[in-house]
Amino acid sequence: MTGGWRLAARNLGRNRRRNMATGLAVALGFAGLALLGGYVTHADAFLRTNAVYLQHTGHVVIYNSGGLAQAVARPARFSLTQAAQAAIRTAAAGDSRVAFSAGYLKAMGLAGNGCRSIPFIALGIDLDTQRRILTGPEVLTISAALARPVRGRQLYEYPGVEGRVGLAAGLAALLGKTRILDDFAGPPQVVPLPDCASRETAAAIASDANVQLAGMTLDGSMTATDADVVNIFHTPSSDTEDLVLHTSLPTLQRLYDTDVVTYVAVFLHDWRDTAGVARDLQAKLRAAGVTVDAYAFSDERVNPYYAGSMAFINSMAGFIVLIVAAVVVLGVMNATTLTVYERSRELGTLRALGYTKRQATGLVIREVALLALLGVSAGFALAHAVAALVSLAGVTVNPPGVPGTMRVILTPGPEISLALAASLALLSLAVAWAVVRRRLRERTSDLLVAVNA
Amino acid sequence: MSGVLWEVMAGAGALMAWVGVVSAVQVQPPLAEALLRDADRARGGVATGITWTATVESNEDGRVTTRSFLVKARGDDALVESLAPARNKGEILLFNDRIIWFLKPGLRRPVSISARQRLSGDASNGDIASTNYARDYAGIIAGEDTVNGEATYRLDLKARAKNVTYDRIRYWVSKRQHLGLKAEFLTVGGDLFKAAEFEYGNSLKTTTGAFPFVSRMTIHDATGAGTVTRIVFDAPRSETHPVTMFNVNNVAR
Amino acid sequence: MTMTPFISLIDVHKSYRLGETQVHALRGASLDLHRGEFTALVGPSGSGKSTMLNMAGCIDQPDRGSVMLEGRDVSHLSDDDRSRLRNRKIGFIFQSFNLVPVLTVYENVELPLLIASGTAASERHDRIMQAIEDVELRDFARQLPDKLSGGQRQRVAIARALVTSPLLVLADEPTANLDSGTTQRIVDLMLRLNESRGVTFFFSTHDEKLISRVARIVHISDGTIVNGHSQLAAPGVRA
Repeated sequence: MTGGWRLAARNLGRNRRRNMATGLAVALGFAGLALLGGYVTHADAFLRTNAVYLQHTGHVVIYNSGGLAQAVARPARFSLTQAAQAAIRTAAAGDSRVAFSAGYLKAMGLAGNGCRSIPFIALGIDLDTQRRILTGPEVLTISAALARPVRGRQLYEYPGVEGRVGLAAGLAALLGKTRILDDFAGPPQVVPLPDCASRETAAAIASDANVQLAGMTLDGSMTATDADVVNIFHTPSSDTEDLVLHTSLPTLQRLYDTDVVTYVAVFLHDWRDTAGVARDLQAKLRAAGVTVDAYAFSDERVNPYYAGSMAFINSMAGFIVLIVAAVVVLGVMNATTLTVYERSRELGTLRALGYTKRQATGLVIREVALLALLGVSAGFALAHAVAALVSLAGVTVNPPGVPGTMRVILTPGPEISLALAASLALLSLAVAWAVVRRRLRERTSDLLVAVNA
Repeated sequence: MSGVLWEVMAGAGALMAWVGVVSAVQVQPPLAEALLRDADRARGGVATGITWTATVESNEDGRVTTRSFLVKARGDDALVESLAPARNKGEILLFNDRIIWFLKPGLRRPVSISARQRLSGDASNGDIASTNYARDYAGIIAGEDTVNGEATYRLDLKARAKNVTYDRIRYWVSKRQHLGLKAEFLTVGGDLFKAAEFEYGNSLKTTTGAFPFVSRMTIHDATGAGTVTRIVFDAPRSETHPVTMFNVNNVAR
Repeated sequence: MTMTPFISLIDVHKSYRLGETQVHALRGASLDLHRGEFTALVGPSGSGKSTMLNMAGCIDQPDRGSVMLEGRDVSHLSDDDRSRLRNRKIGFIFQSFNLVPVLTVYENVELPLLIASGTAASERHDRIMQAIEDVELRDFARQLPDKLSGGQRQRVAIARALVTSPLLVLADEPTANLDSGTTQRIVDLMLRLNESRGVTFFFSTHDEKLISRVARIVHISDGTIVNGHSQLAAPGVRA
C-alpha cells in the first residue's frame, strides 16, 4: 500500500514524548543486548582459543576407544599406536575442513629438583605444530598474552636443547626453580646439592635450570631423565598451574620408552565445522577398523572448564536477554496500546473508508516498524560507541580460573546485531499486531463513536 | 628401629612366648606388635644385613614383563639394583628412612618418591615388599581366619604417621610361625586397593639361628587394569652392609 | 416506470449489547433508495438512525433481513468483501469530520485511493485534485486540518467521500458541528454534487435547514421506518 509508510512516519510525530521514550527503550535494550552479545562472543572466542590451541585439544580430539578416561592411567591398553596415528592423519588430511592434525602424549610422573619431587602431568608436543599454533592468527589476536611464557621463549625456539621443558608457574615455584636456561651463558650447569636438610639447599636448587623427570614406562619400570627449564608459563586454567609441564613429543616418548600418543588433535579452518568433522572422522575411522572416539572441543568431558564456563555465561546471558527483551517488548506494547486506543475513531474511519482489518493493522505496524528501526539504529550506534570507549580504555578482567587476564571486548559482530535487531523488531511487531487486531475486532460502528483518550 | 633393639625385643618376645608355653595357666594371644615384628623379619627386617635377588614378573592387560634385581637390606633400609633387562641395568631404588630414591646412570640428581607417590610400578612393588609394619603401623588383633589351610590372626593396622603409603592394612599372620600370609592394602575410604600373598619357602641363617624367609610374593592390583605381579625371592643370605651404603648422597656419587 | 432500487433494506433487524442491556436498534426496518436521490433520515435520538446508515453502508451486518445493493445481497459478505465494497462504491461523511490530523488536505482525500487497486499514480493525483476542486479547496491542498475551519474540514471530508466516485454517500449528521452559514454552504455543495455527479446521498440529520432542502425525508422511530417510501417535500423545494 503506497502512502502507508508516509502516514506511519507522520504518526510518529503525533506523540513525540511517548514515541521518544519507547524508541529510547528500544535503543537502550538493543544496545545492552548487543554489548552483552559482543562480550559473550569474545569471551567464547577467548576461552575457545585457550581450549583448542593453548591446551592443545584441537577442535576435534581423537582417542582410542575408552582412552579419554583411561589412556593416561593405562597407556599400554588405551594409547594410539603408530598404525592408528597414521590412519587418523590420513583420514584428517582427506577432509578439506581440516587445517592440520598432530599427536600428543600425555603422561603423569614426578618432577624432581634433587631433594623434592612434585607430581606433574606432562604434555609432549610436536614442536612444528606448536609453532603453527602460536604464530597463528587466532592465538595472536585473541590470546597472545596468555600464549607468551612468563619467562623464556617457546619450546620450539630452543632447537639445540634436547631435554627442554616448560614448567607451569605453580610447578616451577613448588620445585624452587626460578631460573631458566636463558639466564645462563654457555651449556647447562648443574650445581651440586648439599644435604637436602641444609639451609643452603633452596638457594642451590634455585641456582640452575635443571630438573629430573621420572615416571613409569608402559611395562611398569621406573624411568627418569634430565631436563632443562627453558620457559615458565601460565596455563589457561588456574587448576593446572601446579601440575603442567610441556616438552617435545620425542623427549616424552623417549622418557617413557614408547612411540604411542595419548590422542590426536585435529585443528580446523572454521570451528563451526567441529561437530560435523568429529562425526565424520569417527565414522570413517571406525569403518576402517580403527576403534576411536572423536570428541568436539566443547564436550565437557574434554574441556570441562570451557564447557562449564560457557554454559554459565550463556545461561546468564540468556536470562538477561529474556528480561531486557521483555521490558522492551512490554514498553512497545504499552505505547502501542495507548496509540491504538487513542486513535480508535481514526481506525473506525479507515475501516469505513474501506480499509480491511489487515490494511488498517498494516498502518499501525508500519509505525511500530519505523519506531523499532529508529530505536535499533540508535541502539546500534550507542553500542558501538560504548564498545569503542571500552576498547580504548583497555579494560581487562580476570576470568575465574584463568591465571591471566582477558581484554574486555564488547563490539558486537554483524550476526549478533542483525539477529538482535530482527528479534526485537519481530517481537515488537508481533505485540503491536496483537494489540491492533484485538482493537479491530470491535465493531467498526463502535470504533467510529469511541471516545479518544 | 635399630637392629640391636630389634634383637632385644625379639629375644624378649621369644622368652615371653616360652614362659607362656610352660605356664599351667591358659595361653594368652600374643601382642599385635610382636606378631608384626616376627612377620617383618621373614621379609628382610634383619638388623645387620641381608642380600637376595628378586625376579619381578608383571602381567598387565595381557602384557608380561620380567625384571630382576639385586636387593641389599639392612634394618629399614634397602638398596635395590636393577640387573635385567639390559636397558634398566644399573638403575637403583634406594629405600631410606621412609623415602624412596630413584637413581639412574647419567641422571644428574636422584629423584625422591614420597609415600603417596609410590602407588604403582616398581616403587609400589618394592614398597609393599619392604613395608615395615611394626614401625609404621599400630595394630590390633581383630579376629582369626584360615588362609590357605593355615590358622591365622587377622590384624587391623592403622598408619602411625601421615607419610606412610597406606592408611589402613588388613594383615593375616599365621599363628604357628608368625609369618604374614596375606595383606590387603586399603584406600582412605576403606576400599581395596591392592592385595598381596606371601609364601616362605626360603630359609635364612643368621647368628641367632635359621628362620623362614619369603620366597614368593603375589600382588594383585584391585583397581584399573587388575595387574598381577609376582616377585620371586632367591638365595637370601646374611651379609653385613655398612650404613653408608644406604646414604643417597653416597649412592648418587 | 418503476425503477429498481439502488439500495434496499428489507426487514432488517439489529440488536447491540450495551453493557448489561440488549438494545434493539432496528426492528424490521425496510427502505428503498434510488440512484441520485438526496434523502434525509430523520428521527429522535435513539431511533436507530446511525444503525440504519451503518446497514446501508455495509459497516454492520443485520441480525435478520437483508441489504441489497444494485440487486445484490450484501448482508452476509465477508468483512473483507464489505470493506472492498465500501471503498469502491460508498463514501462516508462524519459529524466530527474524522480527518487524520497529521495528513494534509491532499493526503486525507487520497486515503481511500491508497487501497484502491488498479489506480495509477497519475490518475490518483488527477482524481484527488478534481475532488479538492469540487469542494473549492484547491488553495488549501497542502494545509493540515488544524489550520482549517470547521466548514473547510467538512469539505475535505466530502472530497474524501467522493474521490473514489462512489454510487452512494452516507453522512451521519454532517452539519451538526457547523454554524448556520457554513451549514448552508455545505448543503449547497452536497446538492450540487448530487446533481452534477448523480451520487445518491443518504444522511441523518436534525438540521431543519438541511431537511428543508431534501427531496425525500424518511422517518424512523423505535427502529422501524415510519415512512419508508419516497415522499417528496413540498413542490419546488430543491437545492
